Amino acid sequence: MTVATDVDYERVLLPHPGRGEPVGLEEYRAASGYAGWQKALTSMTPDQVIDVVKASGLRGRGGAGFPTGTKWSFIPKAPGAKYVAVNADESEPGTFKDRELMEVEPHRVLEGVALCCYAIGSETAFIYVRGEYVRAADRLEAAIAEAEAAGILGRGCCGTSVNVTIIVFRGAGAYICGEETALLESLEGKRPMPRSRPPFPAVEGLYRRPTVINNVETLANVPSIIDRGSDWYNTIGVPPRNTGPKIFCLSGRVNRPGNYELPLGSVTIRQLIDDYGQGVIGGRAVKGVLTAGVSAPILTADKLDTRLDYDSVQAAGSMLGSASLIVLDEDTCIVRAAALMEEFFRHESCGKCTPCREGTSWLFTVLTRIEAGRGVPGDLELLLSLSGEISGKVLCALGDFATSPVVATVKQYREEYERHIHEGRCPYEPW
Amino acid sequence: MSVTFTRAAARTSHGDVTQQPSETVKLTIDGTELEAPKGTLLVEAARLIGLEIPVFCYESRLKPVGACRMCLVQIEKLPRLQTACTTPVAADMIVHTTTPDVVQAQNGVLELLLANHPLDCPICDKGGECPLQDNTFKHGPGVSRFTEEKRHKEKAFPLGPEIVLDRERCIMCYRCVRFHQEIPGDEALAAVQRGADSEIATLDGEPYTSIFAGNTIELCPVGALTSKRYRFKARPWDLVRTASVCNGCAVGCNVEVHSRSEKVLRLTSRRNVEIDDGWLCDRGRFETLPTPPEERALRPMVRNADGQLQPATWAEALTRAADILGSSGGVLASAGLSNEAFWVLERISQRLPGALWPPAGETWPVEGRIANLQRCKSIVLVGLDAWEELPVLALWIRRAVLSGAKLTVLGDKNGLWRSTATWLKGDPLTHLDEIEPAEGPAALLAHPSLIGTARARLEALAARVGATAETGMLGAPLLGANGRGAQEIASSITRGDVDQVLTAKGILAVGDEPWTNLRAGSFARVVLVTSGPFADVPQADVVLPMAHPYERQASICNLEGRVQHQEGGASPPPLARADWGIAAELAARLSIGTAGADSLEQIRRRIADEHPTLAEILHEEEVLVRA
Repeated sequence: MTVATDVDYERVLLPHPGRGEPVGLEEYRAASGYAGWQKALTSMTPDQVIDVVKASGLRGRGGAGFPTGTKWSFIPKAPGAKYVAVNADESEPGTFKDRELMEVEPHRVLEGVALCCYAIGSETAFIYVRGEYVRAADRLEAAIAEAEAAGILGRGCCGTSVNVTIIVFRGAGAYICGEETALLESLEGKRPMPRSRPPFPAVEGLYRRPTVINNVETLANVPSIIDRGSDWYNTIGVPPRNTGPKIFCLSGRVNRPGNYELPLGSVTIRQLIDDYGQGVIGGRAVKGVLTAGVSAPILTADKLDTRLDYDSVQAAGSMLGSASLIVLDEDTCIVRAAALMEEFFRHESCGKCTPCREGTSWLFTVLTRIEAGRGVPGDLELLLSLSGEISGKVLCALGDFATSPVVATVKQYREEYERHIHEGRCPYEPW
Repeated sequence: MSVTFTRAAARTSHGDVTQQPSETVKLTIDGTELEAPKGTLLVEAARLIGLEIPVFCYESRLKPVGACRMCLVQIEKLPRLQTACTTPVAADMIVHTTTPDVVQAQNGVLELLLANHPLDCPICDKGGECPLQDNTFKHGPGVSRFTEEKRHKEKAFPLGPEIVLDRERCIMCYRCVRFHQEIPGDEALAAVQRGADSEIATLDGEPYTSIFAGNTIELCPVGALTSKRYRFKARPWDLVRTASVCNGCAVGCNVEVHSRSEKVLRLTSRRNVEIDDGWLCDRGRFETLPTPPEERALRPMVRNADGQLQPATWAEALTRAADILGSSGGVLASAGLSNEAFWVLERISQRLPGALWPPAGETWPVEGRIANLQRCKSIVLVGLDAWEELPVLALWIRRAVLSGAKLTVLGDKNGLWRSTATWLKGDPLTHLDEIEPAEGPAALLAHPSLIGTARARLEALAARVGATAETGMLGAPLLGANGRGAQEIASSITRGDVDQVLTAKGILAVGDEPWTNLRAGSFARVVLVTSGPFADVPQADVVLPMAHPYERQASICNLEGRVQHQEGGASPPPLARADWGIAAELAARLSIGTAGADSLEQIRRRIADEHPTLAEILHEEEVLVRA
């Protein structure tokens, strides 16, 4: 197999692609594992750690892309308990990067968590793993036990007076727990519904204490940043705003779906599909590509040469988000795809706020009706109007994102919708 | 125009309403400049200038959640619309509540709520007092675009003995769930399932039996939680509403009596921030209503030679009563009688020995105000299960505990167990010496049955924990609705010996009590004055029909010693009379002087003269600070 795009990059996050067994403590340490942790504990102050992470340009990898160092610097310096919550709820359709990180590189994740704790003055971190990721949760717990037995984590890390306790918490099956304040509610044993903000978690988070919430992949970047420095990190990707490696999750109608770790901005969508994903199944044409699971507007086939970094994808009219690329081909009924995406949001809406709870239901019903051939003129205006009643009016991002499948497909594939309405049927073969 | 507000009206959602922050903030709402205390939520700030921002999930006594999105407003410099219920005022904030964006948002929220809301208005109890109806008229779209099948859920679900739940109508505002989490803390309701399948339920399908369940009827902004007893009985616009006071217990929660065609149909709260803060318990709300006419005496009755009770005229009945009581008589008075009745009965009991019935124990009159409780740092309950006996008072105790107070309970029964720091079971008097003194304002309340033997020890304990009238509360309240009034005005009766009265040959039994349990001497004849059931009181030779507390104009004292007026609510049966009126007639027949006082005003004047602390009896009820 030849890779047409020649990206000169030595993997940092997942050095063993295709591996199923976890990297144990000894193997991790032999490859400079916990060197960053050691360095921070013995020769850096917490503020220096924050500064290096800031200088690296690392942005949150969970979807929002918020500068990580800046987020850590929001934590007040006043004494008192502070917490780190790791968002391992990975539930966005088409996303499986955190899963591989936790299952294969648990120590890398733990080291990143520990560095975050040190940087913000927290002694306790909770890794909130979605309940379905049983293997990932088990392996994290085993790795924690290994690290504590070796004195790397727990009380008195690496012989210093720094204490870091990492606790794995298993979710119970709700996408909304990936919303940071809903995650906190769930950790506190309550019904996971997002909180009103302000106050923001940096001020009042877990148990109303200052809390940093970071995605698994974000934290997995931190050990090498501390070990090798922010200057090194800035040689990967496109500084200043798109630095570092990203694990791209490729799925959909491609021959080789999977996780692909590449520098931000090093490939275009087309190159990822053709050179890494081995092209579309059956050589069919691409109809559209989702870039951030189901939460961002679909990009039409004419956008395939968009570079895969935050800024470029935004300029193309969508969002990189968690970089979960789902490829739809020419045989895909876009209306059906939109209905399925809306069904996801309807099912996962927590129900707290009116527009999301009622709106996702209504949108789904209309889309289903159109797909089944019972659409009527005016339905498309209704869909767009309802989306306007939801977007910007809701308590959390789920509601906003729930309008993406509808608005982006109606605007960019309008003829396909109109065909369904006028012909009174779906013109495509059922899947 | 600039308006300044610094008084209690501008309170934050659920803090101590009697102490206000002194710092204020200037802001502008819809072009009107105003100053509001720091921390005021925008919804409340708008009310200061007479602007009602529409809400559903917001309730001033609960923490705001920003769930329903009805109160979205535009705040300059912020890109998205913000919920007014969760946003506190900020200096120089400029708010707009009527822009096209805001109107579109309001239309949208209502359209989405109404999409699946059943068209039940014609059969829904809430119609006419329904915030969803009202907001739709004011802020909703004129037509519905929803042409799909509406979502169906369970209707008329018997959630509990008093509450019917219609799950289709529920708009998931969570007020009911939040109420139970925050106020009584008994978590009696929960939201289950997710998204559009969300529902209100009890955990594990247990019946909804919280003693505070009825409050959710008033909280629910739609007809989802409704009263089983009141179901289908009236429309709000048919009701006559009268200010009164609950006659259930010594807390004296303020209520509105709602009646239709002179029949009392329901009570609602009439928020008094110093006594009940708008809450009622189910006993007061549901069980203090008048006895149905078929079960009560509508006219005077006299037992004939065959042992049958026969209707009689007032003159006949009173003559017979005087005969019975004249030679060897005694008085048993319910603690639910009015101040005015007690004044007359005290006169009567100078000649006829009197006592409270059921026996209420000895008295240690309570000092201190209910509103002090929220500032107490330690609270001790000796043998007193406040949750059971004085439920709304228990809510104040819980509020204090949520602010950091330590609650110590002595005794076996403790409905406040969730909020209790130290619970010493067994005989309360054996634990008195274990109570540590504590810092800060304190309260100590004891059950009146303990006062006879242990008053001095309890007073010493109150001193040791620092319970004073100025900053806290201390005493042993008589638990009936007007035990305090009896204490103040009819001390012979409150100190009277029940057993002595029970040996009398003629017993005057006055009030609404379970007289069927009365065990008098076998030769005793009873003159029964009641608005309750009478047919099963074995020795009642005379029955005089009394007006029910919600049918009388009278006054009672709550445990604080606060005089409150009951202004009627429905007319009593035509031949029934108020308790004080019947007592005055009897006094006259027994030639017992009432110093010329035989009208309501005259009796009140005498009470005010003889008991200066009750001077309020002369004034019309002041409606205290409203939300």
